[in-house]
Amino acid sequence: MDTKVKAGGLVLKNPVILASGTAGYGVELAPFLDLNRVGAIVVKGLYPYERQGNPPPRLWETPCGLLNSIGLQGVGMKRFAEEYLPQLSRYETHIIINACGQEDEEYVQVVEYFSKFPSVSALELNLSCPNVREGGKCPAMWPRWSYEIVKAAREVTKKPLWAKLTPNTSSLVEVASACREAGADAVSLVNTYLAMAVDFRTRRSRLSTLFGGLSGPAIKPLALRAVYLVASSVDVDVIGIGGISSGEDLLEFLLVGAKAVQIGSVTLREPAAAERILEEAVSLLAEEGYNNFNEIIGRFQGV
Amino acid sequence: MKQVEGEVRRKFFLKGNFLFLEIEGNFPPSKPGQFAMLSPSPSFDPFLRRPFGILFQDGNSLFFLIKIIGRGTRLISEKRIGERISVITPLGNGFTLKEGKVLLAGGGTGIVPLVYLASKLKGFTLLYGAKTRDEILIDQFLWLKAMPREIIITTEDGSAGKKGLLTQHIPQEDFSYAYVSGPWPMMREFARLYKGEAEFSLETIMGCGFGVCYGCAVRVRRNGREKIVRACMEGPVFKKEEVIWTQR
Ligand SMILES: Cc1cc2nc3c(=O)[nH]c(=O)nc-3n(C[C@H](O)[C@H](O)[C@H](O)COP(=O)(O)OP(=O)(O)OC[C@H]3O[C@@H](n4cnc5c(N)ncnc54)[C@H](O)[C@@H]3O)c2cc1C
Ligand SMILES: Cc1cc2nc3c(=O)[nH]c(=O)nc-3n(C[C@H](O)[C@H](O)[C@H](O)COP(=O)(O)O)c2cc1C
Ligand code: FES
Repeated sequence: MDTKVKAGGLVLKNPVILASGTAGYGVELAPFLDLNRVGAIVVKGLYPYERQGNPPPRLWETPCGLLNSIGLQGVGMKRFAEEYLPQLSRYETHIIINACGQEDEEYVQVVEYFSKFPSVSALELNLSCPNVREGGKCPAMWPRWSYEIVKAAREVTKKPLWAKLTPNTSSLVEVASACREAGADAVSLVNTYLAMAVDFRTRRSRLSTLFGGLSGPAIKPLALRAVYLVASSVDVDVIGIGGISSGEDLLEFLLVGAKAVQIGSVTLREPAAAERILEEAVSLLAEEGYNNFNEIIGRFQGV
Repeated sequence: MKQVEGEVRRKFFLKGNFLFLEIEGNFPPSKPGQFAMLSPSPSFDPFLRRPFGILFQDGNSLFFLIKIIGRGTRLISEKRIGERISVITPLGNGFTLKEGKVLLAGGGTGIVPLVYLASKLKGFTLLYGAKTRDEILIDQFLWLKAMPREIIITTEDGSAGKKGLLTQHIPQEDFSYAYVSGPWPMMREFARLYKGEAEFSLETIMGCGFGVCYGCAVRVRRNGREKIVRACMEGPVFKKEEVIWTQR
């Protein structure tokens, strides 16, 4: 079966992308998964500099998912380029950088830096990490803030530019439009849902932070709706993310309009999940008489 | 490290709510101090695998000793003989093997990696502590007794061995090295009292066990700087001078 799809300015060999933060810098998964078989890899969030992230504990398991407050620990853009990129670029797949910033200019620095690397296919602006600012605040909560960062990043790169959005806003559709207007080639959604876990015995948070981000199959129906809302009302490619853990999940996201999907938390329990999900989706499509993924994208018939 | 579909070969329950588990499969070789991630259930609830120290590896079998404390460990204990169980192994750095007269100090399930380590050592002193006699599982490791060694048992209520905390009975001899594994408060106290060289096996909450999620963070001191590292990759074994005992 022809599994190719076009999404956010790239031609992907298939619509299965490894999401940022649950695949490390890609190479960590090589013992388990044939990285040549995924459509793309989005590496863990990178700042211009090395970051330690939040103190432990940073993770709490919840029904069918987990809460995290990692806070974007990472080696920073230069060390990534020196220590991981050469190894990662040996695989035949697209490498996408998840660009982060505490200040708006830092996003631009990361984007500008990686624009010079031929092995980097695209940049995903992480406008939506809930774990790095007071109370879970992030740029993608507001159309204006998102617009400014995307616009500034657009000016320094010709590579495809994606904006990763948060579901923790009442203006999701407006934010997606603003990103499109500022020149984004795609929006990736969703990042994690703001949530909390407490221990009534110690009377404190289960995490070292007040809130964390919820992910995994628990959020799939919420994420599906978010993707549907944006895909059906904004003229921009949508990359669907949120709890996807089977081939059928993948096809549901494509059906409501996603051009490709990212596989997140399920990788933590099953490092080769992305390969299984692709195989399942391909055989489901074949069973139903489809010839490729494009025949299902956006074909939702409503109620 | 590899993901392997194993099969429950043997299991029995021991006093004190412990499960002894033998899983058969085509596992890559491991070292003492390394661990494995076991999947409690093929369903999504509970969602994550659980980390367990390797008790022993022999031929095609991995052995575990698991204290049943919550849903994940309960589900693992309910697996039947012949049932499949997914294992990712071996994970983590493991202990550094040292020559000479060494001390192994284990509290509770902390005994697990030390049993594996003991099987590779010529001589050692084992200091093994638990709350009560029911939680002392030394009889299960009869083969340990066949080795040249000294074993000191402590229980908090005095129902077996010396009465009190393990850390109240650290032998006053000179050891060339100590290996410590157990609950945080025990290890913290051990580190405070014990003056010699030592390494500690730390337990943290883990998301993946193979280095991708950064959920297993521990604060350590390296080259004079404080750093956050992953217990599953840079650990779980850390040198005494590296560990910062207040984590939050
Ligand atoms: C490197 C390492 C080696 C270990 N070796 C052993 C061993 O040999 N034998 C043994 O009995 N136990 C061992 N543990 C502890 C064991 O992993 C936990 O007891 C187990 O995960 C509890 O799962 P649960 O679902 O029954 O408990 P729950 O309380 O329901 O667990 C809820 C969540 O908290 C996490 N969690 C709870 N307690 C711990 C803990 N102490 N450490 C890490 N995560 C925890 C679980 O993974 C899960 O995500 C080890 C832990 C680590 C990190
Ligand atoms: C442990 C962890 C770390 C994450 N780190 C990042 C990150 O660095 N950058 C980012 O854009 N998203 C990050 N995310 C969010 C995921 O990429 C994804 O958007 C989210 O988890 C929802 O998808 P899922 O339910 O399939 O996991 C992280 C998620 C988890 C669980
Ligand atoms: S448990 Fe995921 S990085 Fe260590």
